[in-house]
Amino acid sequence: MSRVPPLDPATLTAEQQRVAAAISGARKNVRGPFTIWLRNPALAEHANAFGVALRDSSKLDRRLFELAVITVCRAWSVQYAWSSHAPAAEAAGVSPDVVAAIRDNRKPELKRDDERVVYDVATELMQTKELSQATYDRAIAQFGIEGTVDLVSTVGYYAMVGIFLKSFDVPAPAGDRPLK
Amino acid sequence: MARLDPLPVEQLSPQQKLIHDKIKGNRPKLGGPFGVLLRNPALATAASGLVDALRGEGKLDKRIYELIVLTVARHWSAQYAWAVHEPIARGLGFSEEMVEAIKARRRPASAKPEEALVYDAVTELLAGKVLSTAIYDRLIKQFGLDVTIELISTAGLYSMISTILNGFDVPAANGEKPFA
Repeated sequence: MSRVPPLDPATLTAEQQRVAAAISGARKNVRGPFTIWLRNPALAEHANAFGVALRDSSKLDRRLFELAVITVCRAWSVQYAWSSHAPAAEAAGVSPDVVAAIRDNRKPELKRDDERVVYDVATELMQTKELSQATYDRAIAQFGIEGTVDLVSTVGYYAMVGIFLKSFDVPAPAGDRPLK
Repeated sequence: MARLDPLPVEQLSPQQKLIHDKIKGNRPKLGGPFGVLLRNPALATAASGLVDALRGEGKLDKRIYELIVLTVARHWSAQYAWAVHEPIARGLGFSEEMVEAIKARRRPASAKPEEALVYDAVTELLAGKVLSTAIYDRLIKQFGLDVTIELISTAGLYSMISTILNGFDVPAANGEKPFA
C-alpha cells in the first residue's frame, strides 16, 4: 500500500482538475507519483511537463529513452516505475534479454552502439555520481549536444521520480516486486 | 572548464530568449543547470517551474530548504550547486559547524531537532535508497503531508539538478572546488 492514498476525484480543486486533465491527456491517466504530486498542483504540472518533454524528445528515440529509464529504476530499485517502464521498453524495441539482465542486476549484452552509450551514461551517473570524459565524449558523438542534454536529463528526472516513489512507498500496481 | 558553455544570448532562438529572460530574472547571467537545460526550452521551463513551486511558493521553511539542498549537493558532489547555496545557507544563519559538518558528510551537531530529522531523512533516502517507516512517520508528525511532499520533492529536484550538473561537469562560477 502506498503511504499516501490518492485524492478522491470529487474533492479536487479547480486547479487540481486542470492539472489532472493535462496529465491524463499526456499519460492516459493520473498514476504513480502524480497521484501524490497532485496534492501540490504546481509540482504535478511541472514534473509532468518535464517528463513528457523527455518522453516525446525528438533527439532521443523512445527505445533509448526507455532503456535509460529502466536503468535508473533498477539503480534505485523503484518497483512502481519499473513495472510500468519495463513493458514500455520492450514495446519500444529494447530486447527482452536486455530488460531481464538489467532487472537482475547483470550487465546486459547490448548489440547496438547507441544502447551501449545510453546504458553506460545512466549507470555511471547513478553509480559513480559522475560522468567520465570518455563516456561523455561517446554520448556527444552519438547523440550531439541536444540529445545528450535530453539523455542526462532523463537520468536525472527518473532519479527524482524514483526518490519520490521510494519515499512514499508507492507499490507496483499488481502489488508485485519485480526488482529483488 | 565547463564541457558545455551556455549559449550566447545573441544566439538564442526567440523561444529560448523568452524563456531565458523569464528564468534569468534578477540574476546577472543564466548559468548552471539552466545554461544546460536551455538547449531544450521545454525542460528549462518545467525545471524553473519546479524550483519556483518549491522555493518561491512553497510552505517549506527556507532554512530547511537550504539544508536539503546542501545535503543533496554534498551527496552528489555537485560543485556548482554547493557553491551557489552555501552563501545562501550562511545568510539564513547556518553556523560554521552546520556547513562544515554537511560538507564532511557528518550529521551536524548544532542542528535543531527538526533539522536533524530532515538531515537524517535525506541521507537515509540518498545513501540507502529507502525511507524507513520510522523516519517517514516522524516527518509526517513534524511537518504534515503537504510539507513532507515539498521536502521530498526538493531532495528529488536537487538530485536531478546535481545529475545534470555532474553530467556536464558544470564548475562553480569562480572555478572553486568546494569538494576536493
